[in-house]
Amino acid sequence: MTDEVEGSEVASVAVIDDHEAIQLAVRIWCEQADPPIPIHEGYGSTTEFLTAHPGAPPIAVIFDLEQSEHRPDFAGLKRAAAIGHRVIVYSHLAGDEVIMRCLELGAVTFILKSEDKSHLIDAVRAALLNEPYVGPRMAKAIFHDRSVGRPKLGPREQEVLIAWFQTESKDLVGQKLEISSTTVRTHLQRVRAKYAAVGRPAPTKSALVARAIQDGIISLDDL
Amino acid sequence: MTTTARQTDVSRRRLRFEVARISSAVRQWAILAAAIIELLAPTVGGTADTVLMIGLAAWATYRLSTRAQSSAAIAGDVAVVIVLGAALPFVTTAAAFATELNLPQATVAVSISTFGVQLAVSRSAATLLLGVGAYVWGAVTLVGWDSALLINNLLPITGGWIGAVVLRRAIERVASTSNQAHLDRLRAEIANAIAETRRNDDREQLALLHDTAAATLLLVGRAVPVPVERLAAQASRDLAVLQAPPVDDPSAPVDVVELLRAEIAHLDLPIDFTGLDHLWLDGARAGAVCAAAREALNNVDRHAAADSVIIYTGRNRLEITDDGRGIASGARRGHGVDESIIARMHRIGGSACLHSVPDIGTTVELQWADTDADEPVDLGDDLVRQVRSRYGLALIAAAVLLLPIAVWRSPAGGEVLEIGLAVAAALCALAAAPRVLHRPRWSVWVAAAALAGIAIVQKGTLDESQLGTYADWSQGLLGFCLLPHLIRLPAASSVAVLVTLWTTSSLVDLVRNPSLEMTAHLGMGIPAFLVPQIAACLFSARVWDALVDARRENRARLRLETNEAVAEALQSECIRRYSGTVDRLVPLLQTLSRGGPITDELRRQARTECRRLRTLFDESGVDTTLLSQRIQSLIGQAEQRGVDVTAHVDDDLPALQEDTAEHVLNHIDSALEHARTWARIVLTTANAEVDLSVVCDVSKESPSESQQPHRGVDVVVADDKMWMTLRAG
Repeated sequence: MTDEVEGSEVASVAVIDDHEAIQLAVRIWCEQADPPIPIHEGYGSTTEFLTAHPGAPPIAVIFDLEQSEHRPDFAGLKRAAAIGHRVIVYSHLAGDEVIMRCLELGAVTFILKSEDKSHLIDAVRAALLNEPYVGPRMAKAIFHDRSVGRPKLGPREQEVLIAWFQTESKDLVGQKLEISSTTVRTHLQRVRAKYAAVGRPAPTKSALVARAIQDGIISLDDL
Repeated sequence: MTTTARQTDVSRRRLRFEVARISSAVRQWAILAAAIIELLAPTVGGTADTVLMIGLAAWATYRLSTRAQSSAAIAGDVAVVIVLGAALPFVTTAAAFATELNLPQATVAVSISTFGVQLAVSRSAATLLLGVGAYVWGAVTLVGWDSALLINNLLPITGGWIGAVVLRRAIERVASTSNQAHLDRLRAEIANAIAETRRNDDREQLALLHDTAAATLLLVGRAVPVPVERLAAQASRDLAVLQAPPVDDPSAPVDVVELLRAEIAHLDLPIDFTGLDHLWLDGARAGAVCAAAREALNNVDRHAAADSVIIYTGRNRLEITDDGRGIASGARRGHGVDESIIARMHRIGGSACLHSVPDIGTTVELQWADTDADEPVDLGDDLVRQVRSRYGLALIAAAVLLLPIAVWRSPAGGEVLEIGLAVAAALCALAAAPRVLHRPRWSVWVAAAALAGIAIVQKGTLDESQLGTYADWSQGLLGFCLLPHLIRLPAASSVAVLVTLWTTSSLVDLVRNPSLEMTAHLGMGIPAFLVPQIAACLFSARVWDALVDARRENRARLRLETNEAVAEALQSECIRRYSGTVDRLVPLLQTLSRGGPITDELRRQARTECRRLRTLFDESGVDTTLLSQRIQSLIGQAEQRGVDVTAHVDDDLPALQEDTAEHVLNHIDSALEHARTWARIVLTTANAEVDLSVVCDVSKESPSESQQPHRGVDVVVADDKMWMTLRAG
């Protein structure tokens, strides 16, 4: 199965979910995507995954936050991110503090299981390319973030965040704010890059920031 | 949670109890010591004296051994004080009365001081009057009316009483106000714990639902082409989880008595429950205790042929007593007793033992550790610090007040050197103030050395005839100056230091005049000074213990009440929130587990349930507001028309005025009217206002011109989607 994505360091995608049906569903969605995304392997727990991928090369992993203990596995997330794996948290948990904690620990993005599958696909593609991505529910959590040490967001960025959460459609957001949907995407990417630059360090966060600077999404002055 | 006045006064009760015990003990020890010393080296001698002393010693010994606190005992003590005062003529001579400390003065002063601490002011004032009256009568009988001498003698008695009353007042006040504060704080903690438990339980339940049924239904609703067999297998697993009995949370509190009652329902034994009506233990221990008890009861049922069985429930024990055949000693204990009962109790850190007498009966005793007792009690709070510092300040004040009295009574007291030494001693006492209020540790040794030095110098200024008399004031007083320094030391160390100081200064006197008479003089100082000083040291340690106990009692009592409240709350919440949901999910899952068929209707139902679960999750932990409820009903109506609606309502929405809420709901309604197959409603907080957003798909015919944009309402249309936003507040 050829890897269709070019210019990225990450070559494969894995799924961690104790619910087999979800693993299967994700695999099917990725296969149905255009162009298809190959799912490398499915794992039932973080421990299984880390045993199989204890170090480099890093891979993108769709990570169910609540596995069998019915408690969020922040420790597992932290371990995976510390190795450099690009963790896309995929969860039914929707609390702002949970989402911000995941970002703090080094997850690249957070997608709710109840959001449309297109968000998951976009998130996976972005993770493969090491591009910043903001899911709709994640956008709301960032919008409401009042913690000390949070990055400064411009008024336009804040408008985009809340509108993205409300509509889950870049077209609608662009239409309302009278900007193109590409510009909407850029704003969201800027926000994500700014967040990657603050808080406790993690290899995934610094990689995201470096890539964002390289791509011109943000400049050092913005940080 | 009901509390009686009794409950709120735990600290005060405890303290009073300790205070009464110590005061009583000091009184009796002083009398006993004085009586013994007087018997060994009588000032006057004679049968009356001897008989009196023996009587006093006997009374003191009796009181010390019975430790009664009844009114009769106290009345007896008061009577003793009166006797002591009146017995002045028999115990001392006129000459000695003027110059040195005599037994009645020592014992009456100490007794009245202890009454001052132990009894209510009015009562101790009465004892003061009685004691003073008796003393004055005895003195007048002995030396005639000499007002100066009388005042000299009555000063320490009255002074001691005043000091005692002040001490009592101070401790009582602190105890009562802070006990309330402690209770309030405990209640708040416990209320938080209840809320926390509720939240955790909510999360657990929902996590369970989401992890199981919701995930499966999501796939069904979204028509993900997962093979039907896989879905069926998943649905079966989900059903098994949902229909299983609730997972035992090992820390959730369980009522052991209730469990036992349920257990015995099927046994044909006459069983009586005594002891506690409810016994709350965490799930793990409750399970073990119940299982062990069940085993014991089964044994009784099978082997004992008993006529009655009594189950006694204590805070950390359970006893099952039957009056059956008993087990002959030496008979092999069957597997049922050994493995099941004893091993189970061992596993939770408890124990089990069996007492049996053939033909009389058997008792099985189960015991477990009381974890409440192991819990470190919070000792850092204000009450203990306050009591300690006030106590220390009171001791300093007492020392500083006693010194002038002692110097004034001393015949050599007017001299500059005497006054200077007294001031030095007072300064030593005052030097404890920083120690009392803050925490440096070196002052004890410096102070002890300084006071020993002052004693040596002061005694050096006296001639031999003055040793052991009122002129020898440093003997007794310097211990009081050292007390404030000692209260932070452990009890044993502080007593040792005091005794050393006392012995040192006594030796200085004895070296100059090694006679029995001198020993007797010095000995009389023991009940008058040393015994109260030692008591003051021990008192501080006892007060600390009493407060810790009071804290523990508060905590245990409230915890008991709370466990009941928590379990009850959880029970009713659980039933309220989730049974309806589970009832709706089960048929869906059953269809899926049978392999379908997966019709459009089934998919629609699956989507609806997913949406409901999501809403349930979003609003978990928040009381459902009226607004949310009304939105839910609008959504319900839209769903009847076949529109899939998702809604997100922020936790911290500001309270809206009625007309604003109506405004919001009307717009939701009109937006939903336009929705064709799906809609998404989002209500978020924006400063003090509310942002409403509704996105839905619209049919092509729904012209955007027909939207009359109201003031503050924004409408955006793109392709087949319409987006309405509104800010209100």
